[in-house]
Amino acid sequence: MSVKILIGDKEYVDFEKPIEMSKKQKEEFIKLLKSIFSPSLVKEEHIQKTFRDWRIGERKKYPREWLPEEYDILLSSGSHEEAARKIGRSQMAVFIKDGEWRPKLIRYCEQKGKNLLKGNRLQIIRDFLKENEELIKKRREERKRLTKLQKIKKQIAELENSKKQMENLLSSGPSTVRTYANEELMKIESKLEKLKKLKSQL
Amino acid sequence: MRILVLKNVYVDFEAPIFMFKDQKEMFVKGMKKIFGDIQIKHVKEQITEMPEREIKTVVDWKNPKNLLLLTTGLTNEQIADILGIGRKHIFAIQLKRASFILPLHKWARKKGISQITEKDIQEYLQEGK
Repeated sequence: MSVKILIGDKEYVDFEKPIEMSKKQKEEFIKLLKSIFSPSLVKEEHIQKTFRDWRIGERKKYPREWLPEEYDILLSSGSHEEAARKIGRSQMAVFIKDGEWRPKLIRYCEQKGKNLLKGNRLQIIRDFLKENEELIKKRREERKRLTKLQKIKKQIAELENSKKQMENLLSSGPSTVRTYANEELMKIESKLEKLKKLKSQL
Repeated sequence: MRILVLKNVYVDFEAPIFMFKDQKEMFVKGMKKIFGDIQIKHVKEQITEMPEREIKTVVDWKNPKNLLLLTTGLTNEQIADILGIGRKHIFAIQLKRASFILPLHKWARKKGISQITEKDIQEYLQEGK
């Protein structure tokens, strides 16, 4: 079976589909990549489900998470080209990432009294990424909480409105309607109680 | 760079990998050696690279004071405010940071500087960096 390599006009390389490899071929393949890129970055990862369902030419972006080791290479490289070569990303991608990410890391170091120029860089990066991730998680949870709270407040307001209508019907409506209004009022009050309890828990 | 393996047999890249010309040649040569029969297909990509354009400088980047701001933990927005250039120029700061800090840090490490000052930047600029 022939191996098909896709080479893009923007210099990216991909496979047409996942490749079936023997153990020896896989070892040699990893060895080859380690000889081209920074060896510490080439990591074999066993997956359970399936591979991505897209190839180069089919998308405008190729999302790939940055590893702590990649950030470390970026910090220690003398140029963006040098970093790009080692990590297998375009110079522009590295350049843009650098301008966006480095200030955040510097800010973190200033706050924590850490020094990138003489400390253990990789550990600082790992700590920073971990803290950043936790911060993002917290923000996401807070957003979720607020959305839920807003939804509950809206529901409460609607129910309060309905409650008033039913109360009016109970006090001045015809007797046939009053029975209905009474039942509805009980339902509304029960719902309101539940929602108010939920609101106080948020 | 994650190399994904399924059932210990099927192998794929996590995402396409960017390779410089010489790296691509090395890769293709190596793949031929491992698998013998390989086919290469050239593909037109959709990803958008930033177009080349003339960038008007809105900040005096020869001034060490301005450059020192880039080395701090201030956000790009805060720097734009301090420089009084308006937030529409935030990207200019991001790009300048990207191109300036990396070689500056390399230089600082070489000189054994652990805290960069305005004077250091002046010296750095005088060295024609």
